[in-house]
This record gives sequence, structure tokens and C-alpha cells, in this order.
Amino acid sequence: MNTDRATSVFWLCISIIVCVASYRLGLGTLSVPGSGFMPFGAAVLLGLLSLICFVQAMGREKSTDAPPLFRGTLWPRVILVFIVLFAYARLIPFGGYRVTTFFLLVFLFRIAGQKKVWKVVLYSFVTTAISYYVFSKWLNLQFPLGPLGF
Amino acid sequence: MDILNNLFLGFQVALLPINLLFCFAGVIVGTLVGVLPGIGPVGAMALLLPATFAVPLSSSLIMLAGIYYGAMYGGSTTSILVNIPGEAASVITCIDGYQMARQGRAGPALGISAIGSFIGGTFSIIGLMVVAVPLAKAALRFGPPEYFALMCAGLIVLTYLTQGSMVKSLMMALVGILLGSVGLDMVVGSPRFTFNVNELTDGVGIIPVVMGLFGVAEVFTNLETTVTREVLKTKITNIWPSMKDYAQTKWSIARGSVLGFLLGILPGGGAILASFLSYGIEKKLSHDPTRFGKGAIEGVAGPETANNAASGGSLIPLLTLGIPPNVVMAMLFSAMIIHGVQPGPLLMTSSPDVFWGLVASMYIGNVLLVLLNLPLIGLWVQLLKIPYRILLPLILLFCLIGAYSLNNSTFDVMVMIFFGGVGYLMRKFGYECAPLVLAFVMGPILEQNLRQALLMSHGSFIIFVSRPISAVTLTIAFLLLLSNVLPFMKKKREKVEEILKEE
Repeated sequence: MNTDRATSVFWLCISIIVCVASYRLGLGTLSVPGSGFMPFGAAVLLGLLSLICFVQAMGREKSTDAPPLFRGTLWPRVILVFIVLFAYARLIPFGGYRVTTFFLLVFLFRIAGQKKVWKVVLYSFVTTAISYYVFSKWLNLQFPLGPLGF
Repeated sequence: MDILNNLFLGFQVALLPINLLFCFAGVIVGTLVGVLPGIGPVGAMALLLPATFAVPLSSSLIMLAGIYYGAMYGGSTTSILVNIPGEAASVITCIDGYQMARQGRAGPALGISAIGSFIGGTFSIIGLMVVAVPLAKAALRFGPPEYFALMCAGLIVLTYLTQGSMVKSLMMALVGILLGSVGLDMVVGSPRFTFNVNELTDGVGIIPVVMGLFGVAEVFTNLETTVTREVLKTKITNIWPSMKDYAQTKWSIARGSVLGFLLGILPGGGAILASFLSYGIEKKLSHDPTRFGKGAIEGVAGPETANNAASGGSLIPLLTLGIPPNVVMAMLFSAMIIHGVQPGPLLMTSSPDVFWGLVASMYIGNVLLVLLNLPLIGLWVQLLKIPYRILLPLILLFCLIGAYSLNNSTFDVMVMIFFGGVGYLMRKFGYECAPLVLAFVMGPILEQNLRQALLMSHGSFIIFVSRPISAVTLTIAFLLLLSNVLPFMKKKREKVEEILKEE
């Protein structure tokens, strides 16, 4: 299955789910539209366009042979960073801004290609310290505090 | 005379120390994001929007607009010296700008792009002043059917003008509308699609969505490859173009100014389309088109003028009709809504200081940009040498802090990261983010106007075709949709796209 076919099936599923949810919200009448009226209409159109996209992709599949989208790319790095960023967002209320951000930056500088460990640690420490003082002390942003009070 | 009085009021606002400071900060940040690949003007505006919550609306808008037109100036530097566009509107400048730099003419290329940008920017501000007042007066007669029709047409034109599949762009616009319907229903006040998550009661925040789609997704895309940038080792001397250069480019700059301004007004048009079309026109009108691609100075002057002229033109639909024509204007629209000011025809009478202050600040900003970009070009070149391995963590950290600062909540951070992933996948699968964001911003107003129009007409859709303005607007939108389906029109469109790709 080519990518356009796969994504159009995905959007078709989304449109069906939204149609059901909008119907439950209440469509109302044409003279007094309900909460679900607009989302229902948008979801129906999305479903129709997904079908058009699917049919177009079927026609194209025979004539063109598109290269795989992820071949030859460093996509595992993207997934890793995505997971680490989510973990950071979950952990920051418990670990506090300074500790959690320092470790996040160590990871990010390293994955971005900084080879020397001492440079990674130095850059992470300096960036964390400066960002904390600029945003917390000068701009009065309330960062979460960790269990040790920082 | 009225215009001069209003402009005087505008300068009184724009010359206040706080507004001068914000204007300066805006153009500096704009030039910076234009110069540095990795985050564009939209991401930067989303990032800095929370920082402007505590200041008056005028200052906030002055800074955000400064980021936009500052990025148009800065984007040319990387195009000319590195052959990598700092932002999308400078893609076309790479072709002849980089060739000029390789021939040792980086100085005149940078010089003419700054001068052209200044002239284009100034022309568009004058145009904005002349057009905005009568258009706003006419817009006072618009009702819900007209607004609904204009917004529909805007979204369709945007999807029509986006590169790639129009069907996919329309799909993204619909996803944007669905996303915009999350939260409390404005009419009956009941929650929709909130999944019992308290934070979703107010809807999905525009800032985390835009930061994710345009900032984090860009970083993710760059992570996939090993980014290398090589600054051309050329001595930048004699930044001022010669008399021969001026003679060669005077009409390119004039044409770029008019074209950019007109395309800026068009929904979905904006700076990118203006720069591409300007290049095409210059090549077509040239006595010797073979010079293009080999360092023709008109190929730098025209597009750079046009993209700056478009930035002023695109303010017209936003400030007079309350309809943002592109994603950048959607950010300004959000800033106004956050500050409790409704953009539209009443803005000029209810908040003249905001409108005219913004217009006047653009004059000041353009002068500041010429001062920043010509004598300080060496500084921007030095910035280009910052390796991406340093920039990447910093961009991500600023995005994280920016999202957190909205409500001091990690929920917005998670929304941003989620949309970063969504934006990355959208790029991979050929879906455009711009229609999604624009429809997301316009969705609630679109729905409100549709429901009001149906209430007015007791449920009859005839109201949209019985009123002349909405009928004409919807007909144009329908014809555009049809042109993508009819085989001969479709072929013509594909041919134009092919030519643009070749350019």
C-alpha cells in the first residue's frame, strides 16, 4: 500500500469517528443548528476527500514507483527525541526545572552531534543556568521545583 | 488629510520608548530567524507571543509584525551566502544570489536585496494606508453570510495555491476546522470533544499547536539528516550596488513592489508566491533570459522586493475584514484575540492607536532593518557559522519554555510535542501545515457566522447566493475548486507547478 492510500484510510477512520461523536452531540435543525452540526459537516467532507485521495492514489500506484519515505534517513533519532521530550514533560513536575532540563540538554547536545563529553556537560550546565535565571528571575516564570527544592 | 492625521497619531504611538524597543526587538529576532535555518517566522512569533501578554496590544503587534518582515530581510542572507534559504520566501533568491556570491559579488547581492526590501516594504505600507480605510468602510455592510463566504473563499484559495495536492490541503483545512471545534460550544456553552480533560475546555491552544507544527517539527525533520552548512568564503566588500546595478534593477523593484503588495492581499498568497512569481516575470521580461541562474541581479532584486511588499499587503484583510489571509497573519489575529481586541472593520475606529501605531511602526522597522542589514552584515555572517549541533537543543529548549510559560502547565508542553510529531509526519506524507493552522484559527468564527446566517434565513442556504457579495465570493471559490477537477485546467495548473519547480 503506498503512503497516500494509507493516510487516506487513516483520515477516513477519523472522519467516521468524528461523525459519530458529532451526531451524539446533537446536529440540531437547519434553522437552529446544534453543537455537532459544523463538526459533522466537516467530518463528512473529510471522509469524501479521503475517498477521493484514496482513488487518486490507486491510479498513481500503477504509474509511479515512489521511494520509501523513511529509507536512508535517521528516523530512529526522531522517535527517540520525541519519547525523551514527552518523558521530560512528565518528569519536570517531580524532578524540578534545573535537574530535568540539565539531563534533557545533555541528551539533546549529544544526539545533535556534540562528541566531547566535557563540552556536552558544560554547554548543558551553562544553558540550564542561563535559561533559569533569565526566565525565572528576570521574567518571573514559575518553574516547577524538585523534591530537593530546586 | 485624514490619513496624515492618523499617521501622525500612529507615529506618536510607535515612537513611544516601549514601542520602539519592541519594534527593535521584533526586527532583530526576525532577522535572526530569517538568517538561521531551523525556525521560521511563524514558530518565532508563537514562541514570543506569551512574552507579550503583559504589555499593551500595540507593543505586542509591533513586535510580532517586526518578526515577520524582519525574517523576510534576514532570509536573503543565507540564500545568498549559503545557498540554503533561511525561510520559504527566500528560496528563489538562492538561484541568482548564490551565483553572484560565487562570482565575488555577494556585497551588491546583499545590498540590492536590502534596498529592494526597503522599497517594497515602504510601498506596501503606503498601499495599506490608502486601501485599508475604504475597505473597512465597505466591510461594515458585511453580515454573517458575507463573512462565511469570504472565509470559505480564503481557505479554498489557500489550498489552491499551496504546492502539491489540493485534495490533501483541503483535507488539512477540514482537520483544522475540527480541531478548532474542540472546547466549549460558543452558542450553547456545552463542551465538545474534550474527553473530560479540563485543560481542553478552553479548546486546543493555538500557540502550542503552531510551535509544534512549525518549530518542533522543523527540528525533527532536520534530525533525520546530518545538516551541514558551508558559508561561502568570500570577502563582502562594496555592499552598495553600482549605478549599472541600479539601472538594471529599478523596474524589477517597481514590479516586485506592486506584485508583492497585490499578492499579499490575496488569501493564501503572501510572500512565498510573490517571490516565485516575481522571479518568473523578471525572467520573462528580460532581454537576455539566459543570464538568469548565472547571477542576474534582477533575479535577486525582484523576488526580495516582492516578498517584503507582500508582508504589508497581507495585513489588509486582517485589519479591515478580520480575516487572516495566511498563517503569519493568523498569529497576529490570535494576539489580538488574546488581548481582547476583535480585528475587523471596527478596529480603525475603536482602536485607532493600535491600527495606526502598527502602520507607523512598519516605517520605523523598515529603516531599522536597512541599518541592521547593511552595516552589520558581517555580524549576521558570523551567526551563520553557529553549528546546528548547538542550535538544535537551544531551539527545542526555547519551544519547551515558551509552551510552558503559557499557563505554567506541562499540558501545553505535551500538546506542543504531540503536534511536533504530527507536523513531522505531515511533512513526510506531503500534507501542508498552513491550511490546518489557518482553518484552526478561523474555524470558530466560520462556525459562528454559518450558524448565525442559518438562523437569519430560518435554515435556508439560499441566503449565501441571494446576497451579491457572498454569491460572487462563493462562485469564485467554486470555480477554483472546479478548475482543479476539469482536465484541461488541471493540466495547466500542473504545468505551472512544474515551471515553478524548475525555477
